[in-house]
Amino acid sequence: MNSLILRTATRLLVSLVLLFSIFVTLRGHNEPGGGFIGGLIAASAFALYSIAFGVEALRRAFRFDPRAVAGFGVLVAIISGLLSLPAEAPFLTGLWLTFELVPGEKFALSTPLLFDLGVYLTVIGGVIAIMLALEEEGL
Amino acid sequence: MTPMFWQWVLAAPIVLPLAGGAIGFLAIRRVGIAQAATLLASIGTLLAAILLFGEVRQSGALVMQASRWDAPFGITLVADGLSALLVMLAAAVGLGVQLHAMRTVDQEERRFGFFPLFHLLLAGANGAFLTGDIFNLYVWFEVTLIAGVGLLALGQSKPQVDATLKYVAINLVGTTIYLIATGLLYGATGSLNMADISARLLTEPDSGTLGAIGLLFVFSLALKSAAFPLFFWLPAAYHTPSVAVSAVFAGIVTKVGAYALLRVVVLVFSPKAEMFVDVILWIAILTLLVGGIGALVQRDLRRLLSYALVAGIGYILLGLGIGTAESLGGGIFYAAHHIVLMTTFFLLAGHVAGVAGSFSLDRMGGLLDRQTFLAILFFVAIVALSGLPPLGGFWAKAWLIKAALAAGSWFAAGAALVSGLLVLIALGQAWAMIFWRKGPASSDTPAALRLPSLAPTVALLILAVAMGLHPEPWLDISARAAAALLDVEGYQATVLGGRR
Repeated sequence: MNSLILRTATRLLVSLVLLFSIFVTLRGHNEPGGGFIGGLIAASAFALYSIAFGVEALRRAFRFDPRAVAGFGVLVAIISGLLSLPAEAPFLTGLWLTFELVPGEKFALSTPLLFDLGVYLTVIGGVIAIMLALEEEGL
Repeated sequence: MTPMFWQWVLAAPIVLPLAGGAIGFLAIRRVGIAQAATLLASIGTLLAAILLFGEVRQSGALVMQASRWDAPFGITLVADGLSALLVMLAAAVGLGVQLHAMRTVDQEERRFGFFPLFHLLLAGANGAFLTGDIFNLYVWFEVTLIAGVGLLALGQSKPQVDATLKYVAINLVGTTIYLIATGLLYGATGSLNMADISARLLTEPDSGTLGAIGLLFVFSLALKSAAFPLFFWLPAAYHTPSVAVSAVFAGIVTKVGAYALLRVVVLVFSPKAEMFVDVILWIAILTLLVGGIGALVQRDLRRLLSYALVAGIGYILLGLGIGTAESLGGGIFYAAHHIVLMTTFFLLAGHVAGVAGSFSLDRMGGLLDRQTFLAILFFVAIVALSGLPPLGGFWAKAWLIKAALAAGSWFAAGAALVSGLLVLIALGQAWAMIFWRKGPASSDTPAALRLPSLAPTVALLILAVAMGLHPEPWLDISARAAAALLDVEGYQATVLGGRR
């Protein structure tokens, strides 16, 4: 679609929507949100981009093969589950690493977070792969 | 070995194919890496599945509470005799098909991701076999469905898209109804853990609501296992994709539906199972007959095999429909044998089509002199499937028919015999047309069959034949699997009563 208004607005919106998707993903640990919905939001940003600038531009902007991103996401999720292996806990058991970067402020890294990021990447990759397959002949 | 070690062995048949598939997608541009990763995953899965099977056989069902959320709140993975048996055979067949595919699948399909999708499918099937959670089972159905659709549509030819659409449409209806039934059951019992639901149903009075929920489950799972009257999508979908795909569908994917039906009726609805056993018996009888009759009139080799496959599903369901420990054992043995044999049969069909240039029986002929070895393999497979002694189909059918007569269901025994005869006639006719009769005049020199590409098929056929020639261990395994399946209280105690 060749529209100046859409292209100008898209430039602004894409970065905002992508940021929002990260916010929703991280928020999902204790509140509504999470990797799945975050991934969908991010994918919608890329969808908007491809409507405004075309499929080729999206391919260039995304850089990676979307199926590879989806595969990487699944792998990250599996690894988050395997981290409980050395901890002698069942598959996917949540583990936390807590730092105190600033005195009194606790900062936690956890395997559920890693799992969520894996889901996030899988959804982005999967949805974009479907989108590209529908937009053009073959992959 | 520590209990923790076994918990990881229990998760391995799901995790390894999933990881293999993920790496395969990650390396989607480099087919070599994808192939190597998935091959390693296949081998690893088979080793884990054999270990798991040995442990379950020795010391009973294994349980893992994923994420350390105890049942009934978290998702539980359970391997009892039946699950472990199916996972092991699926892994063996999966490795066979993987090796076959590495020789036969064309470049185009490899580039589109045949191997990763195939492993996603295996992960989905193993997940369905191992989960102890009724909603999680739905998720594994979806994983299998998504990967299956990808595999069916890989070649992107017009008949494939047509077949894929039929497959998707009918299976989406099936999974949606399954989901609705799961939601209703959750509303009625407040639990999703299968063991917990069955315990809660003990105190529920019989009611129309529960009967309706149970029938929704039976309907959706019968649809998924291609039982009468919703079997037509299977022959419509299984004859178009590449041979490796239809082989793995025939061997493993149809058994997922049949397994889920066994699990849901015998375990989840154990206190109320009486309500639908008769329905399942009639479904099984009609499936048997329709599969046999359908096979008689087919002119496409893979369609013919698809109807023979539908008849096979009838035998498995017959074991459930008669509803005694003996009949369940017979059904389980039939299912185990069927996984290996049906996969082999579709692979053989691929070899036949490779030398004849087509799957159409009308265009085949005269292969006996040129492909004597293939003719012998095909003949052995026919004997094994149609239940002639001494091969596997005979023992399973004899066991089932004996159980049917013991339960006084003459009609079921008759249907089992008639269906076996019909399938034998159909396949015998096909054999005569492919190998025996004079070939078409213009038989240009076909591609020679080389042993390396035939080896996985032969290995699987040997496994199927061995199950028939030396049936005692398999009869014992199946009988124990049936006993474990019927031991609902033991299952509840294992899942809900703390860890091993």
